[in-house]
Amino acid sequence: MPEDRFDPGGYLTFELSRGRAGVPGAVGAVILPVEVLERIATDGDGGGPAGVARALGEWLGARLRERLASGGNAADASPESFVSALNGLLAVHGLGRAALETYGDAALIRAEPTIFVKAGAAFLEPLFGSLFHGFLGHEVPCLVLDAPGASCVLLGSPAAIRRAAQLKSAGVGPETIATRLHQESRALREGKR
Amino acid sequence: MTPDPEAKKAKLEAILGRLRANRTNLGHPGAALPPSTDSVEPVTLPLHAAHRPGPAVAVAAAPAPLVEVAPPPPPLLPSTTVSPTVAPVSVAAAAPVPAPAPAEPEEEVRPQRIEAVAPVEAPVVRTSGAVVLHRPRTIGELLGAALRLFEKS
Repeated sequence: MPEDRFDPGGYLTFELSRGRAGVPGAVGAVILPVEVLERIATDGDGGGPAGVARALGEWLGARLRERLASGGNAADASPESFVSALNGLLAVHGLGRAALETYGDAALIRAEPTIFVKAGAAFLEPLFGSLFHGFLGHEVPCLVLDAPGASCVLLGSPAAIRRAAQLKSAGVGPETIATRLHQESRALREGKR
Repeated sequence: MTPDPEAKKAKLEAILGRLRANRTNLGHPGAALPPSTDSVEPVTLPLHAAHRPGPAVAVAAAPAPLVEVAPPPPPLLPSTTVSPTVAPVSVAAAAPVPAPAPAEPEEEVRPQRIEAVAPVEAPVVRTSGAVVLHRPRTIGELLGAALRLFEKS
């Protein structure tokens, strides 16, 4: 007698430490909320990496704000809490993982995405730009810097992003760029005093 | 029936007498046998105690074993509520990321790495620096510092 009830056990799997979700027969799976999927399908720029990134980033940023606010201001959460919540959300959606590094005042996100890996900046810059917009309520300029094994996303002011782009084009590595930004920015402030 | 040993003894001896006479007459054809009118009544002897019937024993009938029959299972219906099933989580140690390159010689800026080793665990903050610059206490402070880079104030 055939089994009439569908057993979902084991069909959808999660590997949280790597930020991956899976279904049988696929290299990975991504959990998309209906709102995100509809926005991707109806946006004018179509479902390319940037369109997917903006829809996902706004969604994730809003969820982060909700989870970290807890009756107060989400921006008052510790950096550790932010990274933990970010990685949890990225993992259950099957989107990878990320770490946050600070070099003085400069900040880098070292991302290991699971989708649009080859798209690089075309996906990661709108993803984290929209994510921080959804989290803080205002734009956070981002610039992807090349890094072996991962993609580094620099967060900074427009002036800092412009300076970082110059250094990147000169072949300077992400960590050195972040350090230089902190040093040059501090030197600029001290010189103005 | 009243047992009378003397009368019965007399009857038995009479019977024995006729039997002896019959035996005497055997071999003499034509001799007429006297008709037997004796009857032997049963003798009731006193029963030995061991043979007396014992008291009646009422044997209760053993109750029939109870067989509990489970109610039939409900018919299988398609489930409309599917509980989410989460496979066991494989928590692998995070691959070590090479430490950022040292800064320019004029100032040693060591990075602080903030990462969640596993989303279900507390995040780990790695500070490798001998020179620990101002460490932001909140994510708002951290992002605010980044957004103020190269600003005059």
